[in-house]
Amino acid sequence: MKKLVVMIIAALLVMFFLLLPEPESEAAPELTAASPAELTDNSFILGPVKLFDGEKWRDERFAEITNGRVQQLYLNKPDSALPWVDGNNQWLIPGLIDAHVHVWGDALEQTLNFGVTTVLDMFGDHQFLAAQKATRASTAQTNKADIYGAGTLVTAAKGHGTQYGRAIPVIENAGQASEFVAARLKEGSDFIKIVYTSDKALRRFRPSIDLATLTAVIAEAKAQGVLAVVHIADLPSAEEAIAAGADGLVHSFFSEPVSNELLQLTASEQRFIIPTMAVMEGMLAGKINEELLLNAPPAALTPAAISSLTERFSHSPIPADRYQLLANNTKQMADAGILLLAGSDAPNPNTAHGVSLIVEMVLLQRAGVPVLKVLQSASSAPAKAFGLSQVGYLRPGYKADMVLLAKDPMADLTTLLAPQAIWKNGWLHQPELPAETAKMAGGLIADFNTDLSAHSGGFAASSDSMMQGNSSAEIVVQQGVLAVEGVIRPGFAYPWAGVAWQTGNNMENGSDFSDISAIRFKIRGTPGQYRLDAFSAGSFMPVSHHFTVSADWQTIEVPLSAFSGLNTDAVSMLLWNGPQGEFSFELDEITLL
Amino acid sequence: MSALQTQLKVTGLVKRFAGKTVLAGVDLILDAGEVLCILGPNGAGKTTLISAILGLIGTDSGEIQLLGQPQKGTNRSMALRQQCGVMMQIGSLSANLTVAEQCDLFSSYYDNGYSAAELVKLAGLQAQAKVRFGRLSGGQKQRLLFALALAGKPKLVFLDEPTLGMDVEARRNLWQQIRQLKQQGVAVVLTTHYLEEAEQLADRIMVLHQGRFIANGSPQQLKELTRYKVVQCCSSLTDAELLALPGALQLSRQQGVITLHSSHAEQTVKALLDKDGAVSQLEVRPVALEQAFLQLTAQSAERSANKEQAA
Amino acid sequence: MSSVAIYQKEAWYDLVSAWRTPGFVLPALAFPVVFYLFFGVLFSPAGSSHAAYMLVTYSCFGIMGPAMFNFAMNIASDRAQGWLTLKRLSPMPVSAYLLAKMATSLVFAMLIIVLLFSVAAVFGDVRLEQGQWLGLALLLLAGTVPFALIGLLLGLTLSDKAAPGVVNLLYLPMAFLSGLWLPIHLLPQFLQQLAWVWPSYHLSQLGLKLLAMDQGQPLLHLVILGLTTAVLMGLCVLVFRRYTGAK
Repeated sequence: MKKLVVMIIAALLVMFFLLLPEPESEAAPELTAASPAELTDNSFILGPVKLFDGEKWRDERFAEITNGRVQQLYLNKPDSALPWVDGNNQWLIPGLIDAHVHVWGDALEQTLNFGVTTVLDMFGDHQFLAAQKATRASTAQTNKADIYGAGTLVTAAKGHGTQYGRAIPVIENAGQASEFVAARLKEGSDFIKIVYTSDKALRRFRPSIDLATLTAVIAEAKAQGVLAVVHIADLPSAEEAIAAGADGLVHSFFSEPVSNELLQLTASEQRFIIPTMAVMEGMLAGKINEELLLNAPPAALTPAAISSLTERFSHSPIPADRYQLLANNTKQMADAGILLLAGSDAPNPNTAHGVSLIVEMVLLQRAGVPVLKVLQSASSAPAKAFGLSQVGYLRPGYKADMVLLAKDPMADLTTLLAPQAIWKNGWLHQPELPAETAKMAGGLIADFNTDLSAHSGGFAASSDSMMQGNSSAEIVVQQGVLAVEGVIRPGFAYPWAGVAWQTGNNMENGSDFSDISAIRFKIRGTPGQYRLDAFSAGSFMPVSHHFTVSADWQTIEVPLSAFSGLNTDAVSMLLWNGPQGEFSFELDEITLL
Repeated sequence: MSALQTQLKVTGLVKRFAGKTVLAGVDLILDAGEVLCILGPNGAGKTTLISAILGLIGTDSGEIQLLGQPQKGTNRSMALRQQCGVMMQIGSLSANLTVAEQCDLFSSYYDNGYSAAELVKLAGLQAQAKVRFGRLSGGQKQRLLFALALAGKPKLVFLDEPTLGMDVEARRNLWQQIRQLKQQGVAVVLTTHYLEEAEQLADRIMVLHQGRFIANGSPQQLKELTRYKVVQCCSSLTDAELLALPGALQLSRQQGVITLHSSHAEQTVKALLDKDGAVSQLEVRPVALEQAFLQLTAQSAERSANKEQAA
Repeated sequence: MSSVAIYQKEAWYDLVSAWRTPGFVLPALAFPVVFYLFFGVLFSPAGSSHAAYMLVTYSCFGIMGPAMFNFAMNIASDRAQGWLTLKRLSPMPVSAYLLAKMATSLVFAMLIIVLLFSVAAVFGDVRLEQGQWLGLALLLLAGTVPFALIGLLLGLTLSDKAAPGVVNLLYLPMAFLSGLWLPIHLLPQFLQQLAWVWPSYHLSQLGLKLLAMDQGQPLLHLVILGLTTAVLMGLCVLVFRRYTGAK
């Protein structure tokens, strides 16, 4: 009897230990490690990797990610119930931070595709910024980068920032500083960005606020607890901005060599500079994108991005040696110990979201900035400069925004262009690759015999009223033709009104026009000078061809070569504009040749 | 089992605690089938003596022989323990175990002892077999402890105040059991406060006082001892005349004062006054030894009388 | 009766006696379970290893209690009540008495292990390899020895009235300072260094080693725990000799 009881107890104990749950087999460490793509959670163990924590390379080889945050780093693989993702001894760095961008539309998606997990917006729609704020605090799955932003910038009437067509509030004098800054913060600005050109500057492109206003706005920003950063384009402006207490400069300059005074003051007071060499390279050399990107475009690069990368500022030629000056300035700033932040100024000409930050990093390195500092400039440095507590480091508590690289970035920064894996909030981000651009074949596009339907894409009225301009347009199909009625009035910087043909289903990709030589159409209407605008995908600046229209039908044929600078691999839209003032015209038989 | 075998022999036992002599050269001998009763007031050293014999405490000098084997230090062999039974004055069992369980446990210790059921019966606690020790009355506890002392059918039993807390009937029963032990040839050492208990059970009574035996004899002898008196006087009678007085045993003279020991002091004094009308400074008092003994017995007799009335 | 039977009976009745003491059983079993549920399971971030980490530390906490209390309090009270004297006079080996107490501690340790492991598996979602579960259980059972020795030492030196207080005064702070309630790395630096004094710290680190959550140096912890046990054993023998000897 006693023996029986003892045996029963022993058997129960054995059963108990047999019943205790074991880790799921896929998480059984030594046996199976998931590849990044197999994991559908934002809690996991990643390793072994060579780990850059945003500031330095660590001895730890494994990272425990819990609920999208770095929980702990380990020298050896921790025994954990969490699934294990094999790091294959590759290089792991924090998700990159682009310290100078302007975002709208799908920019946050585009930028994340290149491992840039956080951006600092230096002037944009404050409502867009406010709408994104909630997500940056969470670690929910997202296909967008986090954004911190200035919202509306601080500039003078007709100053830099007002030329983009959107009406923005401007500041007139120092007395408005307090109210102006408060209004920005109320709109949701994370920091204040000011545009400033000194009276002493050699060239003044646009009106600028005066030094008193600059000083007052900077002081107000500090009083209200936020950073004040300043857009400058020359040495005197930079010196005055730093002297006025600016926390950082969002551009470098190539107008003259940097002065020792500026270097010393900026370094000693621990201010930062965002050189934005990538955008300036486009003005001064225009070679880097071709070299790094366009010979073999990264898969995630959209036609729109390529358009933007190949786009150029229209300006009078600048001596080519100025790029070397810019590079020297950057090196001197780095040597002086100034905190440099990598920023692309995308999507200005010569830049595109995400990818141009990597170009910027390469340019920084080539200018002579040590590569470790370059890596910091896109991770811990912006976090430090802007006081970001969630991103910029791979350390316990920070967001698990991470990029896994196949090669050592210390040896070759271009490995950043082909990341092995990107994690946002601990979730593996799989970039949606741009769809193959539809090939456009010659032939009839639309004859308007019954309706608006087109063989590709579609027609719609278009005018600058969508940008708060004063023009307007309406279209209707009647008697087998497309009738357009409208008015073009001054108001917007580039007034327009007429009918637009979106060439494909996707404005981002456009259509491949490389087999097309010309476009032919029949037109009659209010006599005058008409304009046909052609848009490259991703670009909002069209190339135009002018032609004359009379009250009688005539067939007009425009060769594609007439649109100089058009990216014929990705044409997104053609836009027929009427003449100035009130107009009406009819369009028929649109054909591609 | 020889009736005359010496089961316990103690010679010149000395024990000191912190400079104080608790046992000052104690001798005793106990034969099989003999019941030795050690009488003495609290603090006389009774428990210390038993503890020393049992090896619970060390000794400073002296010899101890148990069941014919000389003992050294505090070690007592397992074989020896198999044959000794002990009931200590402060003896408590685990309060959470029942009578039957305690008996089962103790019976397992002994190679040739009683079974658990026999021990329960021996304690007379059949009705309380399932009662936990902590819920027994004081007397029931003593009975269980007594039974457990006999668990190994011992040759030598030490009982330290065994009837403490028992009612009259229980005490009589225990006495009966002790008498049976004696008949079985078991040697019993018994300490008690009760003179009556000693008279009822003991073959020999030893009185321990301040670490020494001050009296040693049969109950009869000790009773005799309690009757001795000292008669002091100044008288013209000669030594021979004085010793011829009834009850007179021995005499001494000191500076004209006569000290006469008498077994029947009243008769002695009456005869003395008859013979010598000029007796002066007459004084009758107990012997010094008796004085202590009487104090002891008087106290304990009084206490037992009270108890019996209360019961 | 064979001597094996003495050991069996002694162990059985010691266990029965302990089991019939609600003041001992309830805290011994309930405290670790409730504490673990609260601090290890309820406050555990989903998907983290927290519940597994705390399983180790609260198991250590759990097994220490019965080992220390069963020895310290019961031996002190057995001494005071003469029970131990009676046992010493009977032909029962002292080892049977001590091993019985050890067996009781082990049974309680096993109960606590079963309870805590169940809670961890069911509520804490803790998943370990079979070898880890079993290894942890065996380590914890072996780990009761030094605490039993501490209990024995206290039981032999303290009065029955002082023993419970002193054991609590040692048990609770030792558990906290060894990182059994909160992970050790949450404690201030100087307390983390002080933790090396406590055997419970070394035991918990060995347990965490099985789960690869330790702070390193497992061999050192093992050696220190072994040495501590040996020293305690020596002390117990000394004190026990003094208790049975020339007193």
